[in-house]
Amino acid sequence: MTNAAMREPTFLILTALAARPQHGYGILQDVESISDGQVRLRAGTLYTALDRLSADGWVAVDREEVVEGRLRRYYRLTDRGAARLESEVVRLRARSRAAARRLRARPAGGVA
Amino acid sequence: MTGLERRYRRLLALYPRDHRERNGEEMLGVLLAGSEGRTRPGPRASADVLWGAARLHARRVAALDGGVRLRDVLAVVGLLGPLVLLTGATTGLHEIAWWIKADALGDMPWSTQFPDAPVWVLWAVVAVLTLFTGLRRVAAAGAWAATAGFLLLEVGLPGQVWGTGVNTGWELLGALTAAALTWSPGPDRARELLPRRAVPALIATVVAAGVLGVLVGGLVGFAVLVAGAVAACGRGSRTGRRAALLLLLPVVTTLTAFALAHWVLPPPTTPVDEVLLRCPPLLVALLALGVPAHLARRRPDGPVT
Repeated sequence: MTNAAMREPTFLILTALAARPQHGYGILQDVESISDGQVRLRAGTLYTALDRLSADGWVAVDREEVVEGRLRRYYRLTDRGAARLESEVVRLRARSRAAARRLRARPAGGVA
Repeated sequence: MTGLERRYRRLLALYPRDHRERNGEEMLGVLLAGSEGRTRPGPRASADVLWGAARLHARRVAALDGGVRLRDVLAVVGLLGPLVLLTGATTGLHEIAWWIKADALGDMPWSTQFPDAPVWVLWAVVAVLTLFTGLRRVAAAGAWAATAGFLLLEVGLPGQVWGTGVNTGWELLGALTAAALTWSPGPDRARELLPRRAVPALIATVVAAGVLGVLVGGLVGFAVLVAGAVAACGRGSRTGRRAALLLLLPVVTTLTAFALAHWVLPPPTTPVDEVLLRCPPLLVALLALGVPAHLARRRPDGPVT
């Protein structure tokens, strides 16, 4: 499996689906919450991403409901999507550790 | 229905049909949920919806979502390509018409006025073989010979229209047609995929485009060709639309040449023009042949957004 970097919206959408299936609006809200309000996805971006993620087999439709006369479709992370998210987490963790090590080795007061 | 919902529906109508049917109502619900208190879509939300529609259309053109078999696309190109290629003879026919009008056809210098005539005659033979006989292999051999003829003209007639890049679309379509007749499932498969009216409609289109091209001018003929090719290939079929894109590669070159001549670089053509003329049809061909999708499949776990 490749360690190519995953873009942030993809990472956040997969993260939003990691613990439980969610519907579209729930994903948007969860992404905002996960990113501490720094990333605010919109519907066009979300459904373009879901189209790709579904085609790649990383997410799948879990179930559908009709709430107040409107269709609500829940998406879930597939095993393949979970494995890809896991590898991204490992990659980011390794990068973070390396960055932390370098920062600890930095002379106090900075370098000239 | 509120004004807000109506406006969002109008924006969602721009999405690819399959996506609209599958996700349209759901997207509408999400858009409305995120627009509480508003009476019309905000500029950011509108731009995001439009950008999403553009990206999904692009994905479908490049077949990144799968669902289009290249072999089927090529089968359609193999059947209809020889017919579309006949439109390329319009310029030469225009010359003949001029000499006939001057009552001097016998004096016409064919080598300078219509040097590519033998190649177009060969494509006419290929079209007849493909459409009206079962001699597919003979048609394929003829198509390869005609494509080689294109290349000879390109190399051997520098300074004229050939050798400048203006005919790149015809050359690419010729090569694709020859390849399709040789390796695709063939015209029989194409007839299964296309509407019944496809061949007669395209014959009428090519005749109309040729007549208009001779009488009025090339761009009018090309406009007719675009409409006819899209109608013949079936607007509702993704395979048909992809094949139409390949069949219209000559139009891509013509439009590029028109744009260059009028807005960018005035004639005469320079080496820069030549490169600019050759690139667009090549890129469209790579896109329509699904090369981006092929590359994406080679790295299935790569970044997706």
